[in-house]
Amino acid sequence: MMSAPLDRRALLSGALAGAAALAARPIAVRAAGPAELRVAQPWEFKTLDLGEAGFTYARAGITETLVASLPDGRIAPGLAQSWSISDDGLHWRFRLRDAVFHDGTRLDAATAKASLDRLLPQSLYLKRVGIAAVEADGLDLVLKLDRPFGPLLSYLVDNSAAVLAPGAFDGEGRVRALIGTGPFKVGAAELPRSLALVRHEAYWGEKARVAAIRYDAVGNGDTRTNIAIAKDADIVFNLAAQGVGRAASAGMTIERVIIPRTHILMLNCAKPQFAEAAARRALSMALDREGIAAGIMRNKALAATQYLPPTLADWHFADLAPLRQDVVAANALLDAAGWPRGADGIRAKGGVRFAGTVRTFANRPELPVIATAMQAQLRAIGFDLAISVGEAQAIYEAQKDGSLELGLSSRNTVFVPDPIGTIALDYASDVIAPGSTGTTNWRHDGLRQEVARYLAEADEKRRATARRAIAGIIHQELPIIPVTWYDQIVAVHPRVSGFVTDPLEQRYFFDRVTIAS
Amino acid sequence: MSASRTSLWPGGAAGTVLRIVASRLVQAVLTALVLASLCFAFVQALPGDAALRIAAARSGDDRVTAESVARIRAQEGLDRSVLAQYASWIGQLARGDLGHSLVSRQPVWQELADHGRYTLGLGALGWLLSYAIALPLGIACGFRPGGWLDRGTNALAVALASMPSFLVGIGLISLFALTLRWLPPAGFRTGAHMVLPALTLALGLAAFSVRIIRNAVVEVRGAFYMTFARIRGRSAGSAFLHHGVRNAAIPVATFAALQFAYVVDGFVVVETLFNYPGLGDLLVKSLLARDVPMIMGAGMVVGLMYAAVNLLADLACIGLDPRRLAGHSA
Repeated sequence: MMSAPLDRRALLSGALAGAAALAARPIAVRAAGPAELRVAQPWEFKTLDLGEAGFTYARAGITETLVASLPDGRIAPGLAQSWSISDDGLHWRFRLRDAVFHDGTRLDAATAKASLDRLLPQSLYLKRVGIAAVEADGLDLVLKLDRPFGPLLSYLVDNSAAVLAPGAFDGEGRVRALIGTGPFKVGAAELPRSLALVRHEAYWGEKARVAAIRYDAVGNGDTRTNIAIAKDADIVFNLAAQGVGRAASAGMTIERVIIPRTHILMLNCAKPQFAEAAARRALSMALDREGIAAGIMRNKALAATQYLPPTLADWHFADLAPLRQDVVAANALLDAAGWPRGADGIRAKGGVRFAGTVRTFANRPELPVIATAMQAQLRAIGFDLAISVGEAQAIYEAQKDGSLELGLSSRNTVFVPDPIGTIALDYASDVIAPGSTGTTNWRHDGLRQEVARYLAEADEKRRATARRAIAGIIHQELPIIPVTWYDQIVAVHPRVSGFVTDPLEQRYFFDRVTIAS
Repeated sequence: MSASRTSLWPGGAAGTVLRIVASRLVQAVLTALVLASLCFAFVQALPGDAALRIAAARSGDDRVTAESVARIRAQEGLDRSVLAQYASWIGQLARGDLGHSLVSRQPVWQELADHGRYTLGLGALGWLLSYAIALPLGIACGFRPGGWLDRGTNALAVALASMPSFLVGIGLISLFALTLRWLPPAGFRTGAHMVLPALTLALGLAAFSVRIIRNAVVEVRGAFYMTFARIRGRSAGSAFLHHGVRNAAIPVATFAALQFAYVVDGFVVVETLFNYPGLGDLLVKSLLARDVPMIMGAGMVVGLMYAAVNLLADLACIGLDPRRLAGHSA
């Protein structure tokens, strides 16, 4: 049986009221307070799993690790105020500081051990270190290794193994809440798009000056640029180079810093056209890196003269001959290597054309444009380059099935603040890195020995020797060809002061920032 | 005021209305199931390794490892045959469970609800705004067909209708956010952030509905019952109010439902352009990540919403013109 007949006017008023309530909801709950720092950045907060999205929470100052990195790459005390290492290099003892988690729980060696026991197995880098046991010994936390591991402190900055409170985990050991020790704690979260943080009043260090931060994940670079031009955020990360002028004209301060990321041309060294180091060097010499850096990246200083940028002072060597364009020398090298030109100007040897298809992707909009620039430059030395633009993961799939010829990709080289983490994976491992950015079918036993020596070595002088040897082999052999480095462009609202850009992208340091009223 | 004037349909017709609702619901559920199954088939036909894409969506391209891909493949059952995966989803659905997102690991229904409320809010605002623009303009043009307002509105409507919504959105951002600096260009932090996306939707919708309203008014004004009302001494305005509005509203209500398809299409563009966390944005991201349960869930919801909107339009038309019930009960 039907109830009372519906009144049209009541129906219409109800619909209008409902729509208005739905539409107005964001207004009511999202009004920004005057002391809120508004941040637009490209990284979404996808999951609570630190192994997958831990870097976003560490950068934001929610989670902390035993040690921390400084913008100049040095390792500083974090939750451990000091540490010592046994003579055999197998026992690392960390004295924990007096800190309180966001939920009021006190940090001690037992809680730190419980957290690391749960998170270490999922840590991308730390699980490769060989930590045999984590022990709580009074006020100290002791890491027992099954082999000496020199760069352990850098690896401990791996934010997928941060120290969380016992209440952060569910019964199965999965992270169900982000309860860390950092200067900011989670106020409200709407994953994956926004995260509202408030100051942790019981922070062990100097308390943050801003009371609250709101992060918005904005994936599209053009949209971030629009936000900067409209000054609708205080700090906008990863601005498109093309938008810098307009954002500056709008009154935003522009910060540019070269970060450890390199745009690389990957070569499948199993293919005859890329098997010889001479041919790879000739391809490298054909590239006009300065032109690409100035014309496409809008910063001439980004031309990659070697694999790692000067930002990584320990790993950047002034005595390595800079990678530069030299078409005459490149042609001479190929002539000498027995790659004569055919009638169409393209070289061939033993029936193999000096040609290949480069796979790249448009998530980084500059990459297809760089590929197009390379096409003309490589033709000058008799190489025929075809371009295929698809998804980033297609490079890895082609690596796996052996069909990859060339790939144009981008590699972040410091997930932990020592590039050895990435170099060991990309250059000294038989497993292809699905990040689509490792070497392909290239093996160098000398390099593997140097990597092993570096990893086991605690003495800084001997480590420096190994570093130089590793960099030299990569530079000489060119299993991948560095094209440009990359600069982080940040637009900062004039009301913000104290902003520091971390070239290692480990932390935002927003606890040092102040906002003018 | 008599009871018959305030009810949507006359007493005694409730059974017929309920039968219409029930049959439409059955149709809607079947359509939603077919739509979801098609979504599943299309995603399976896409090239590439789904586990790899899920891993990349969770942690970013750089951080994917062979171990994380293998773990996801095993944990999410992506190593099973396509048929086994489909059968598993159907089994879950039969238990009233839409499954969980392979990227966020949240229940699909929760993700849909979280994003859906944003889409509903924006959609309702855009739709109301479109009629706030189109109704007065359409009626005014219908009263003076061929006049300067009618010709001008027609030209503007043609221009707007021929423009893709992303172009309209970019134009609005350029003007109101980047040049005049009156409104924010993207996001969802405050109410002001909703204005430009709602206006983008509204202009696209109004471009079509203003002509429908104008034509309905012209037709109604030319009908014999309007002439008869004038003969009885009513003014043009009074005759239209008493006899024309109800008749003119029928094609407008039917068209409003058809506009839903445009709205769904528009959301994908508008939410992406304005970084707005609604269903359109969720659908695009889920497709890129090969998040099959989310895509199927979104397909079902869109199908059900489409059916619901059409049903509401039909009921509104029956309410406006109860003689239509005769066709359904025959």
